[in-house]
Amino acid sequence: MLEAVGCAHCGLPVPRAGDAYCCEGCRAVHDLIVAGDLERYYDLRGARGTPVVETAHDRRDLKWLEAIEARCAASRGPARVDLDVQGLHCSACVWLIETLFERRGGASLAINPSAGRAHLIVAPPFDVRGFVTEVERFGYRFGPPVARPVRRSNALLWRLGVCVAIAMNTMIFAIAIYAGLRSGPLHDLFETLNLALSTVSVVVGGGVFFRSAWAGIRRRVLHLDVPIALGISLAWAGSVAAFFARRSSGIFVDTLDVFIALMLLGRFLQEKVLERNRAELLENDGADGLLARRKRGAGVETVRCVELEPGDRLVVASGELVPVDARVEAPSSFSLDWLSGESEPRSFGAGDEVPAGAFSASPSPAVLVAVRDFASSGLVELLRTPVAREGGSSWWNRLAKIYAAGVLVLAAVGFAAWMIATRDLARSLEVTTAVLVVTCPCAFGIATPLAYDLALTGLRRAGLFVRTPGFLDRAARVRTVVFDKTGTLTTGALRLRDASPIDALSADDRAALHDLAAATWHPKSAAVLAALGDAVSTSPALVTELPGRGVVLERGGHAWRLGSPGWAGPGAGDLAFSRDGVLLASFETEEQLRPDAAREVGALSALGCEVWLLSGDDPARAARAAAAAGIDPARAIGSQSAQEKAAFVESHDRADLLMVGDGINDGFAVERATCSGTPAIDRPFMAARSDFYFVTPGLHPVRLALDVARKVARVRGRNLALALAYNVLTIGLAYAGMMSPLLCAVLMPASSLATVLSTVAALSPRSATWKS
Amino acid sequence: MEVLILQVFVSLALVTGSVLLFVFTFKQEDFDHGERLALRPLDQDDR
Repeated sequence: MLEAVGCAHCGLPVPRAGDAYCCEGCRAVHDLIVAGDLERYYDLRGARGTPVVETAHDRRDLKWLEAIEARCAASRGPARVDLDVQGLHCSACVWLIETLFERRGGASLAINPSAGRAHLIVAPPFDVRGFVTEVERFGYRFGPPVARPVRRSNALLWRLGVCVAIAMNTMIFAIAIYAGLRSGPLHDLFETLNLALSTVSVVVGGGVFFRSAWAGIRRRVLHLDVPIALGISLAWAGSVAAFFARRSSGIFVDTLDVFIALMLLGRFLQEKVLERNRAELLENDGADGLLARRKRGAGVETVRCVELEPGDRLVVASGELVPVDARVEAPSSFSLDWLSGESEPRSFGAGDEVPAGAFSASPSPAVLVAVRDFASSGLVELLRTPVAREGGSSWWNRLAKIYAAGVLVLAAVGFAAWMIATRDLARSLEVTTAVLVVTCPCAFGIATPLAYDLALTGLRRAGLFVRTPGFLDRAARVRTVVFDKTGTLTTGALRLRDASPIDALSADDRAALHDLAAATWHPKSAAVLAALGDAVSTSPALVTELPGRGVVLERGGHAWRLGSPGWAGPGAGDLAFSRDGVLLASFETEEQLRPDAAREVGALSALGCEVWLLSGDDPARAARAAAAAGIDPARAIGSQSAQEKAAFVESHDRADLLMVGDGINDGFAVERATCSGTPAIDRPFMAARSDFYFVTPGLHPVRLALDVARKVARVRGRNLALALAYNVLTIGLAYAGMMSPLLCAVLMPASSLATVLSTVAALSPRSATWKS
Repeated sequence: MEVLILQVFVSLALVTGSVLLFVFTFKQEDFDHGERLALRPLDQDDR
């Protein structure tokens, strides 16, 4: 299923046969590792490194470090610095960062990959910024420490440890009883100890299910924890009653302890991978990558939103986000969909305040005056708030309800039948307890979480990180896949089709071109910068941006322009560079599809998926990208605003649509789609709204996720059949009064083992593209 | 018989001890940075 090993750094498939690396990021990091004499990193990772994510916003803002640096400088002795780290995967990552830290003379470093946090002890003159910058060159990202919610798997782990120890010990005592220890003081001691240990297990381990079941009942939701909690409490109560009535045939505590341990293991597996995937990304608000246009003099400059101040005049084009609370200068309309859920745009008169988070719905650019800075605006909270997605599939919920109700009915029927037939309350209770114990939902309680764990771990290895619990259930039904264009189907970067005109420029003109390109965040400028390389000497310059046209630089009595042909100069391509109105060079830029985009689109179609392209870009560009990726041109739609994308998703989603997007204008669509994913890990507000994020240069993990989800659904179906057969047999035996504690102690773990082995055989990660 | 009872309590004491040790390592957050602890045996070669 996975491709052959290729890239010399990460092992992912390379775009073209013979290439050494899958992307420039991997090449750069491989060179750094070799140059820094850090090859042991590859030994620790089993010869493969972590894929390096090339983001569209590589110019990092490390302003948050200033407060930490000031604290370190003020400290007389060693200071403790806590940092969140993104991209930690394994021992090799820890080793690499620790080695770099030691080389810089750091005192002590403790890295916690599960929580994504690093604790540094540093003393002057340790350069924290230098260390952060150096480590980030290897593809990791640092951020200020953000308080994280208490991890549920932590609470489960110690309960699991205690319950496993109790289960093993009660089994030892029970074996002695099953082997023939029927009476005497030792028998009584063993039964007493078993009951006491089991009581501890019920309190420590059962509490998890009691709480969850009670919460479900209060919300009037019948889920799987209800029969589990009921089974535990009735089996324990029945065993206590049988113990005091001196009826050994009614004591099921050993089976009960194994059951609790297995259920806790299942629950722990469920939580562990998802928590780790969530902790892998920095929990910042993504403000780093958010840009705004600010009026300056006659022109407009592009600035980070965090730099905006009250009084700044902002230009917000149609479909763009209002980054801070601001007053409109002229009547305009804005969509408050993201803030209030209103689908219809609302009109604002001159002087009215528009809240941060609104999208411009006016046909022409709106001019607003900021009334608050970014930190005080509501957008920060909006970006930080993760969107709660549906927990699981309706099929799964229905099944859990049927199962819960079925178990209760079967137990009641058994009790009633035995009461009518024998009039023996104790014996009837024994049969009821036996029914509740043997109808253990192993197929759901342990095999299904195990299946999810294996699937999610396999996806991690392929570079895809699932964040929401019900994703695999929903992904199994996906038949429509919608890609955003820029940054999703393409790399988000542009390149010059022909960079030779740059070689013909004089040194002065090259310096001016560099200054112009470096002054704006536009992708075309980035393409020019990349073609110029580093060997350009520059001087401070005043560059002005004119929206929709380009940038202009005035220096030494000359005016250089870089921008659209017609404005900058009479060029033939889509970007012109001129001095004092004389054309110096013209360029044509082209988008770069992700290396495997065409292959993966074909593979998704082969899986039976309808593939669409939705783009905010003009329809001609969208059609060109679709054609290059092998998407039917009729399914490529351009000029889509954030609301139009969301409307498309709502009208085409029959609970079977996967939306993959990266920009804030994909936010609505991603929130409304049945399943969603993003490659935008540098903009956490997208990852927080998506079911998964992926870190590979290609789209391969997206198809893999759908494939794996279908496989998990098949395995789940098979486990369900096994569970059904097991339950028919064991309930029959219990109804017949033949279910002894010994038989129960054998059959219940045997059924668990059968479903676990069947799951492991089907989903075992025998091959992996890169180690996680 | 008395020896068996003694053995039972000794083994239970051992189990209790191991559970306490487990809880101690859990409180130390050792399970959170297993990747780092895994490198400890190699430290001597490096430094």
